[in-house]
Amino acid sequence: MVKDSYLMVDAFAQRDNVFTRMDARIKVSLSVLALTAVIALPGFILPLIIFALTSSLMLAVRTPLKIVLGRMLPPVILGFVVFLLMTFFHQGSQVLSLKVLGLELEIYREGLVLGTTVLLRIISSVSILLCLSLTTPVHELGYALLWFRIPRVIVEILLLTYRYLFVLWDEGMRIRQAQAMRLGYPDWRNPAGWKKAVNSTSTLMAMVFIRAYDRAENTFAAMQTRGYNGEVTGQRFKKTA
Amino acid sequence: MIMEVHQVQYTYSDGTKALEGVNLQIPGGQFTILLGPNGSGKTTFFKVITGLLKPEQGDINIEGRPLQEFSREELYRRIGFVFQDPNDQLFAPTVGDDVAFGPVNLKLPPDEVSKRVRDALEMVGIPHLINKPVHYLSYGQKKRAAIAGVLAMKPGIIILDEPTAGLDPGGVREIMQLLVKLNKKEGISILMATHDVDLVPLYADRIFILHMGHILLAGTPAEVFSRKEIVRGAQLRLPRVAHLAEILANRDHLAVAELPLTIGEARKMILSNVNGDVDAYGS
Amino acid sequence: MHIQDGFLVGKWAVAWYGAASVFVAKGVYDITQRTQKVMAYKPLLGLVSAAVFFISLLPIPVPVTGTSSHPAGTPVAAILVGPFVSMVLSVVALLLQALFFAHGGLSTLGANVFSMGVVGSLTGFGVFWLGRKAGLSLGIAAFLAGAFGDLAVYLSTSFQLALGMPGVHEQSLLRAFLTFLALFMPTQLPLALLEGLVTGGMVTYIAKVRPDILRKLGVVEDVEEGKN
Repeated sequence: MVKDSYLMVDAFAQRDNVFTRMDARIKVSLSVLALTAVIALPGFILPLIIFALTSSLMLAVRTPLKIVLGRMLPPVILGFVVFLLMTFFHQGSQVLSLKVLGLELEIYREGLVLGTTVLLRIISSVSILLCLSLTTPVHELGYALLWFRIPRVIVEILLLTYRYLFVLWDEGMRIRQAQAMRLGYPDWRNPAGWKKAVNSTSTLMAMVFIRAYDRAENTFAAMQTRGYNGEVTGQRFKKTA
Repeated sequence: MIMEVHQVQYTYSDGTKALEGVNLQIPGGQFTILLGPNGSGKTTFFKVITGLLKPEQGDINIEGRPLQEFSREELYRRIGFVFQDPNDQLFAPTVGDDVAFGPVNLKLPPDEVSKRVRDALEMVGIPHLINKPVHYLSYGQKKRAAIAGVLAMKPGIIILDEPTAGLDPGGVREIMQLLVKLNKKEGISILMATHDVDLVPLYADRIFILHMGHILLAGTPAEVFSRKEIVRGAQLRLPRVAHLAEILANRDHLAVAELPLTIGEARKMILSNVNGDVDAYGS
Repeated sequence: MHIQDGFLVGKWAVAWYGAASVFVAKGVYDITQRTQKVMAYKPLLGLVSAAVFFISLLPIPVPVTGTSSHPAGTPVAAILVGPFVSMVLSVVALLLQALFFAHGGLSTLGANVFSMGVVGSLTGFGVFWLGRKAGLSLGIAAFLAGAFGDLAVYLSTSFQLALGMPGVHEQSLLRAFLTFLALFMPTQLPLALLEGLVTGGMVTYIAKVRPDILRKLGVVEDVEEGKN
């Protein structure tokens, strides 16, 4: 499930359109700029404008609603919880008071304003990142980060992680299915089943780690035969479209 | 001789003796197959002759010079090694970046790097995948990309560990034809490991059988498969057609002078029996 | 448990970036130094990073709420590759999560790296180290590291959230902190226990089948360790 959403966004970024062709450095700069503005500036207008812009971008590249909702909903729900919290907990001038189940809830103007601000900020910043990831393949992003002087080591590990996550994911899911077929994941809600499920999970983690470790040795050997000298990136093959 | 191996021994740190005195010679320009069952030491042997593992004894000469005298760069300009699992080898995010890794490490100018990348991808038949992320490739495409990564170094010999493992029959044929093309057209010596006996007579000029860290047999496919007992004793078997011919000769008394190894040879043998034309295969 | 973009006001977003980068810089320095001696270290970290990221995406069952949640992963990473390197891996994981799952974000990356990466790794590693010094078995020490590491992430994230609320001042800080603690308690407390259990289980399993890996990574010293 997690991989599905991951792959969908990833596959989407491979498409060819005006935005995917744009230099990743420009997209990163714009995203950071927009994020900074949303978070640093007060008011409701700016987040709304940015959300309108990002929404039209997503429409323009025909993003499936499934991706948008799948990615926007969880943070927005969380944002709504915070909105409620702030609305009730913030002190200031009271707007109205409610009696729910014997509890007296008071809503204050300042809380309402702050809650709305945070909610709007969340919505618009999630949409900014969504636009960035929908139009920028991770490797393009990696090279852009290098250009922005993000330490090479971090970018190299990022790109290796991106590459091998897919390989490990497939291996891990095979192990998980093999465990499931031998009833390694019974019902979590009864104690015996729960214990077994925890056990299977930790075994799966260990097996994936061991495979990763062994694969690293082979990958290193393969890199050596092609003249590896300690640098993994920087040998970018340029796109000539 | 592009490669000579003399009395090479290798023992893993846990005490497992993987190679116990391996000798072999590989003439340049040939298609050589190293045949051996699982655990016979094929991968270890390849890692030793590519300088990835250091043998505790024995000599390895590449183009007449001892392996240890080569700098890493000199060595890997001459020898390319394709790992069994292409996922081990393809570590860069895109195909083009991965193929460029070797040439960039050779410190070639950018123009030469991109020329080599394009040529290599063209040679293995996937030029259109140059900007594709590796995880969107099929298994067969990954194998090709891995071979391209090695080709871009322009080695004189390419060593492949089980290049056909995990491929369907169509995929096996395509990869083998690619290797034959590299061998015949580009003049690159090929040394590949497999335990797929039926592949051998179709493609190999010369074969070696490796078993429990020893070379049991060496020679042309016909020479090696004529030693049936040794082949079978090494957890291997004859090619299917040869086995059929053996049964036809023993049980049905067909005239079989020399065991046919390929379908073409078998056809000739059967036709000569059917037509009574015993000249071709004797009586 | 990550803080979403939009939750933190600008000055705190920047402050956490600053605080986290001091620690991450040490990790980057360590890796660079080590790579110069051991070239195999970088591909190893790439694969370990992918494995830890995979682990952090695994749903683990939380019996109380009947839902599943995800482990932080930094405590076990800290045990296996050391606390500072583990922080660098957390930067990578959080960046990828922000991009692909909208977990966390860019403006809160610093804050999340600080709580999950820095606090999670240091606590996990510290508890593991102390546990081993005190003579605890590998599995128990890893269990405690996982549990306390996860707990520390939960505490520090709640604190960051409270501190980063727009308009929070000294009097309301404690109240906001307690509110967040209470809000996340039903999932985070059992999750801490679970992260401990899977961390302990994972390290024990590796020690059983591949003690050589733990020796090479310097997690254990002698051969006997694998036999518990």
